[in-house]
Amino acid sequence: MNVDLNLLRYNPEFDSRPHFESYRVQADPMERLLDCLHKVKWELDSSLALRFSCAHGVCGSDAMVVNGVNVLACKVLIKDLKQPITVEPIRGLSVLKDFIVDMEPFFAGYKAVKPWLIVDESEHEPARERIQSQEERDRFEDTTKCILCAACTTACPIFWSDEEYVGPAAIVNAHRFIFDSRDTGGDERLEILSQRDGAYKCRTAFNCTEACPRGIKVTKAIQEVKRVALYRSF
Amino acid sequence: MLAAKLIEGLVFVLTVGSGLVATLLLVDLLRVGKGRQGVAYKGGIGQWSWVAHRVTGILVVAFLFGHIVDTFGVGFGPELYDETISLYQQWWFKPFEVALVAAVVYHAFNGLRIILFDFWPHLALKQKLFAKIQLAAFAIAFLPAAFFMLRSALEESPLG
Repeated sequence: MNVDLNLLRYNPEFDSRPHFESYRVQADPMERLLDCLHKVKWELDSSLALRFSCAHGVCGSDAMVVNGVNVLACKVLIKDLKQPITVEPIRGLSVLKDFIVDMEPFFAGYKAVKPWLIVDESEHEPARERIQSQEERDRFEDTTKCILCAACTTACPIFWSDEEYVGPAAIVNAHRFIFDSRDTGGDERLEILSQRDGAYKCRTAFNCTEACPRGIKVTKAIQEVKRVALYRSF
Repeated sequence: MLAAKLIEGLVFVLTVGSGLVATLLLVDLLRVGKGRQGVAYKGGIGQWSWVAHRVTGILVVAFLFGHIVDTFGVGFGPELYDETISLYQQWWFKPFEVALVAAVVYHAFNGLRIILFDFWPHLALKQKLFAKIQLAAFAIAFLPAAFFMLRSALEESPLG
């Protein structure tokens, strides 16, 4: 079938501002959008710039705004998209070229919440494994699924207007450790997330939850972090 | 009285102008405008509830500011105050009062919805249902009020 694509192109060397360009490729309805973008790049216009790696929805490299919503280009099927398919780079981060954005502010927010296991210094080399019950593990199961694609953070209207906000993805990854029974760094993280650019900047617009390609209940996780941060002060 | 007219003008400009500016800013943020490159982000009911919450919030604060200014006029004697307040009795001002009621009622109910998610995070899983309940509650509280207010405005208008 014919697939019509409207791609928001931007090359800082030649363009003063982004502009749409139209392409037509042949594709099977069961092919994914990433396949069509590759056909454009390989057969029609090799200057098209985009990120991808695994192409199977695991690495989280190819988040884009497709027909107005954040998706992974490698997960969405052509048959599920209304044509012409409008593709834009994710929002709130500066565009370097075409669909490649500067992810640094996103990762800065992620690193700010210390997304690693924090344990008592004296237990650096424990004599035995850190045992956890199934219930304790289930407490943060949902937030272990994050692939850092930035689909949630760049769907957030608060993040669009304020890059300093740590964003949904950072809070999800903080949640993953705050509610881990083996971790002892909860207070440190809640201190960071209680600040001006932390979890309370979330205004529950739910765009993050709807955008997550892994189906993480992002807003629920953020609300849980807000709640535990609030009750900690009493 | 010139002072009364000035205060009336301020209330009017603040109420209508700020609502308009707030709407335009948010619409621009979501890239609805034709002049912007790209399309509006097609968020769901949660996104648009947030937009409406912001717009109504700014509208209410702006009116409150104007209302503080006109109440301040009471310190300069009843004549000034009465003349300023007469703005609210004009039939053509009633639709703006209806808009104010809409803003206050919407903002209040939506605020309650958000507070529910803040204290019971698991309710966030049913956010679409809660947004619809909130809209229904808004309609039940607002529509009768709007009907009676607009009816009285119509009776006082040259058409009535």
